[in-house]
Amino acid sequence: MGIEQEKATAFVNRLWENPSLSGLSPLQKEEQLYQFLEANSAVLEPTLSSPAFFPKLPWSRILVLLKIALMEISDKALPSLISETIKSSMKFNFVQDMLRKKASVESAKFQLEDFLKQMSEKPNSRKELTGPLMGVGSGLIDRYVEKIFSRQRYIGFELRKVQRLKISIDEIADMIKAAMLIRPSVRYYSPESTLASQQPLLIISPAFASKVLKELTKSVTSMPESVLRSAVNSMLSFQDNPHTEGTARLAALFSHRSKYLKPGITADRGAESSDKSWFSIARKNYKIYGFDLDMLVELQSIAAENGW
Amino acid sequence: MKRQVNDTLEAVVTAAIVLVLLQTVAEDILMISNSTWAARRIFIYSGFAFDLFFTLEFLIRSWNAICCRSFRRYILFENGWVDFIASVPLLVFSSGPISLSIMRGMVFAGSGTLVGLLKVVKAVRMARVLRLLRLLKIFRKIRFADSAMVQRHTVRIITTATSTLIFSAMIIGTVFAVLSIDDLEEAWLIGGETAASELEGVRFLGPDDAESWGLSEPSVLLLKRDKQTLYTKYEEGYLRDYFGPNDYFIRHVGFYTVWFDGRPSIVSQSKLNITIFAMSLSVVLLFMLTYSPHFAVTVSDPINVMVRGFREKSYNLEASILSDYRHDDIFRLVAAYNDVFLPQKERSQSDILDISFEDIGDILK
Repeated sequence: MGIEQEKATAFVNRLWENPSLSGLSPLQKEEQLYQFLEANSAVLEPTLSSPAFFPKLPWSRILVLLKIALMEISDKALPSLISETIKSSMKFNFVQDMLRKKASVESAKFQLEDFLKQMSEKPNSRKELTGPLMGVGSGLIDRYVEKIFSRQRYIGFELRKVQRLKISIDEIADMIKAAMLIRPSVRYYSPESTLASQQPLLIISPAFASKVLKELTKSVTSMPESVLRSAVNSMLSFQDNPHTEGTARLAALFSHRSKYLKPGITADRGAESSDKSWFSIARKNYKIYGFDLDMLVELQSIAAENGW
Repeated sequence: MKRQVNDTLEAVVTAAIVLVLLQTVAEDILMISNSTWAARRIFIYSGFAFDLFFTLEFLIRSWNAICCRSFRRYILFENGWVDFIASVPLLVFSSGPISLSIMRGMVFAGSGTLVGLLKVVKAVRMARVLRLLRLLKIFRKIRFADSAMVQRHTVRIITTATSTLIFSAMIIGTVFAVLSIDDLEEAWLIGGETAASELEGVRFLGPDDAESWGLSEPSVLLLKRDKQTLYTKYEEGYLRDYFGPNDYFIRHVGFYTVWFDGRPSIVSQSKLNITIFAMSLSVVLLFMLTYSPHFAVTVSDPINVMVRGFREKSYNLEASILSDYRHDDIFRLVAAYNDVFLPQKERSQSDILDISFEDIGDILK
């Protein structure tokens, strides 16, 4: 490592430890700092080009050094975050129940972990992992799924009667988590030309979803196809595809919800709780993201009832 | 250093305000509970000392404000009017004259009507109510709300309500004291005065007659002729221990001198003072405990949430709408913020930054 790169690493390390980023996951931090460097180039350039930091280097080179350092710091934390999330925040019994194969639980687990690590190496899918990893790791899905089934209203009906899921409540929660984690594969398998923009990919067409599913079934062979389908179909618009699975719709909602989730944040006096606010705003923008409005209404109601 | 001295002086003034309020109430309680004159005298003198202290404080603050060309600001916006009203008039018209009269051993005496004397005493004592205005200064020093707006509004409304209460009580009390309105205290003395006028033409009054005359009038303490006591309601020791110079009136009638008990009037004034103090304190506490939180919940909290939402890219919490007040202007604004602004903000933001340039200022140094 050159002396410039060491300096860049030291600088990014200090940014990484900034208190305003405390509580964020490594990917959230990485995303924040990446945007921060891009957004504040004009202000950072004069200071970082000074003798105290990177004299004689052009700003474009400095920016590259900083981004490399950022990726390196994040890369150190990411594999353990993925392993930890899969190990402690979800179980894979649903695989056994759905495939009726004894050996499939462990292999599904290892295969998913490998696949997540593969996705995390590609910048576009790596970015899409932020929400799912945070959502699964924070216990958000378990909390809501439990309430969904204790209420037995629209979402419960969609999962049990429409989608005909015969597995236990915990397994349904784990299935949604798996769908969320596999969802970034849509980005992973997208041709680079469609990803020129930094805008997140919100909605895809059913035709493209079929292509992604085909690729996915080859890569993640131990996972039930219905889970993979939920993962891919979570990128479809519910308005245009009203037969999308309930688990896919929930995976879409929870992935979006978790993207900027900060666990442990208490709402200001006079403000609504974090989840309630998010679901309420999402209700007003549901067409843009292709969300199921009725699900949003029910989830907002759960959040309000529980002060989430 | 200068700041330290200022802080110390302010702390002394605050302590004095608390003490003067306690002193005022304690003086009245001692009066009502018929305490000894020696105990009451301490409180009368301490009241005088406090009024002197606060008059000096007012003069120093005024001088300082005049030097800084901010006297108007001090009087109108920095409680200068409270400093003035709760010090100078008290010193000049109430505690000053009373203390001086006690020091000189003077009593309310004369050949005028007793009711006239009573009115003077009442008017003088009524001014003590102004001391309660200091409650406002204490309250102003308490930081009870996070929001400056809540603090200011609550202080304004408490100041208005409490000062109105105190001034009304003082003005109405003084008017009633000065006007000839029959009340029990006056009836008590009028009865004594009528009885005293019966002595006008009487040259000799035997001990038995003097006693039966004295017993017939409860307001009469003592009846003397040429320094010879003809009748006394209490033992001499009791009179010495429990009566101060301001507790009785002396009336000269013909060959006789009659001492009248003035305490019922003073006790009545003390009860009124305590009532006004309790009412003022209740007004302050009630506004602090009920109005202040209400104002925060219905005005400042929603505003603060919206301000954060407008300013901070990553702040996307909705402001709560209280269903009972949803038609209030502020909650109609909140509804627009929640229903229009936040969804629009969310749509227009592809990325949300939690970190700002200010957060890393130290890293760049």
